[in-house]
This record gives sequence, structure tokens and C-alpha cells, in this order.
Amino acid sequence: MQSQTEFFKPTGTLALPVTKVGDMAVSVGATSAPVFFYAEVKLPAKSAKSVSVDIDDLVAEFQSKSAANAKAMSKGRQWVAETFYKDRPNLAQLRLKKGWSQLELAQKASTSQSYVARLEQGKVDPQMSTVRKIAEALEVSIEVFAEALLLEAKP
Amino acid sequence: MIPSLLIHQDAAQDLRDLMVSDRAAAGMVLALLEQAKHDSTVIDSLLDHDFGAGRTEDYHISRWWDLWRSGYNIWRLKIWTVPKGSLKQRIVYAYDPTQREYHVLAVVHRDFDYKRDHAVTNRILQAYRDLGIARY
Repeated sequence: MQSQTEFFKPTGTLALPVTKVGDMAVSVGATSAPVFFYAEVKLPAKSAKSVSVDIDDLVAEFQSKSAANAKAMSKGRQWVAETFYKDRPNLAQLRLKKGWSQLELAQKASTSQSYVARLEQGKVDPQMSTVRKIAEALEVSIEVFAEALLLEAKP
Repeated sequence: MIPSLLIHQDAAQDLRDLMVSDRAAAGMVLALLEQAKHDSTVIDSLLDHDFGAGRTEDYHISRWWDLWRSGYNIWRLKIWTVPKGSLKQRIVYAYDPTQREYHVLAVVHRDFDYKRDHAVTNRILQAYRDLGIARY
């Protein structure tokens, strides 16, 4: 936790004797005396949201800036498919081989990004009409798509 | 529930700079981070010290030992690439267990020496403190 100590110049004088302020004994004579205030201020941590960006938003920023950036992202996803999913022919691999984000697949299959995310995590049991739409978007057979889904299916 | 993966504004700037200097590398790092966010297999490995050592996996996870000994929960990810060394970037991140959040704090070149007095190290530690992540 960040701690910041701030010192202040005397802001005035006390005309009356004071023997105690809070838990601290203060000895002040009958004559006017300068008063120093000491304050330790513990600043709250910066909200993660105020200093951070979600990876999906950052990717969107890059992709919207130039076609070259979008192409680099697409190639990056294909590299992820070849490198990290070479032994996992699941739905994520099918999508990444196309160079698409979850949002892009969702848009091509007329569904939502969150649905694609849950599908990739094996958290939904899709209807046949949805299977057909996504398989068509990915340009794979329903059999290939079903096998990919079964790899991530949770019991 | 998959933990969150957030990119600190300093790391976002690293990636913006990388997108200018080496667009292909930026695309690879971004695509990996994008996928890590959505894949529990990847994100769960990010706290597994020495995961992938000896090229047993496609990437290697390591604590930043010098900082770890001082109580910082900071890690580094190195991708094993083919051909060897074709991706020269390392991803430095912290984990906040109270929020179940991973925070990417920097994307550094492999020549970065991880020394305590390096400006990038100081920047990373400042970001860690700003986020209020606990030290042990």
C-alpha cells in the first residue's frame, strides 16, 4: 500500500494552553506558540480499471487503427493455434487457425462473444442449429466441429 | 470462473511501441494474451513456477526471484519459439490473489537484465504498488 507523508508549514498559533491533542500530549505555554500539523495520509490503491485496459479492448484498439495491425493480429492467432494448440484440435484451435477472435467468430456466426467463450470452455450444450451456423462460419464439417466441441466438453 | 487478465497502461504502451517497431511480434504477444484470458489451461499455468522448463511446454514460467524474495508476486513468461529466439519479448506480470487478477506490467525485450536498479524494474514496481497488490 502506498503511503505518503505530507508536511505542512505552521498555519497559525494557539493562544490558549493545550495539554492534550488526541493521544498526544502537547506542552504549550501560556504565550502564543506555533502549531505544526503532521499528517500521514494513506492513499488508496489506484483502481485496476483506472490504470489498466482489458486485453480485448487493447486488441480492438490496434485492429481499428490499421489493416496492417489487424493482419498482424490474425497472423498472431494463427501462430497461437500452431504453437499452443497443435495437440488440442478443439474449437479454439479451429477459430485461431482462421485468425479470428471470439468476437469475430461470433459475428460471422450471428451469435455473441460470450456464447463462443462458454462454448470453448465446454460450458454449454449447443443446439443443432447453432452447431451448423458456427461450423459453416469456420468452414468445417459438422463432424469436425462436433469432435472439437467434445474435446472441451465437461462431464 | 477464469481469473481476469488486465494490461497495465505501461504494458499497453510497451505493446503500442512494439506494434511500431516489430508488428509481427506485437501480433504474437497480443494474440497469446488474448487467448490466455479465455483459456483456463493457459491462465492456470501462469503461477506454476518452472512450467515448461527444458522446452517441455511451449512457454516457460518463472518467478522473478529477486523480487519474489522481497515479497513481490511478480512472474515472467518466456515463449519457446521455433526457430529458436524468433520471438524476443518476455511478458512480466503480477498476480493479485485477493481479486483473482493477473496484471501484465511490462512486455520487455529479452536483453532486459532484470536488475533492481533498472528503470524498467522501477517502473514495474511502481505499477505493482499503484495497483495495491499485497507483498508477502
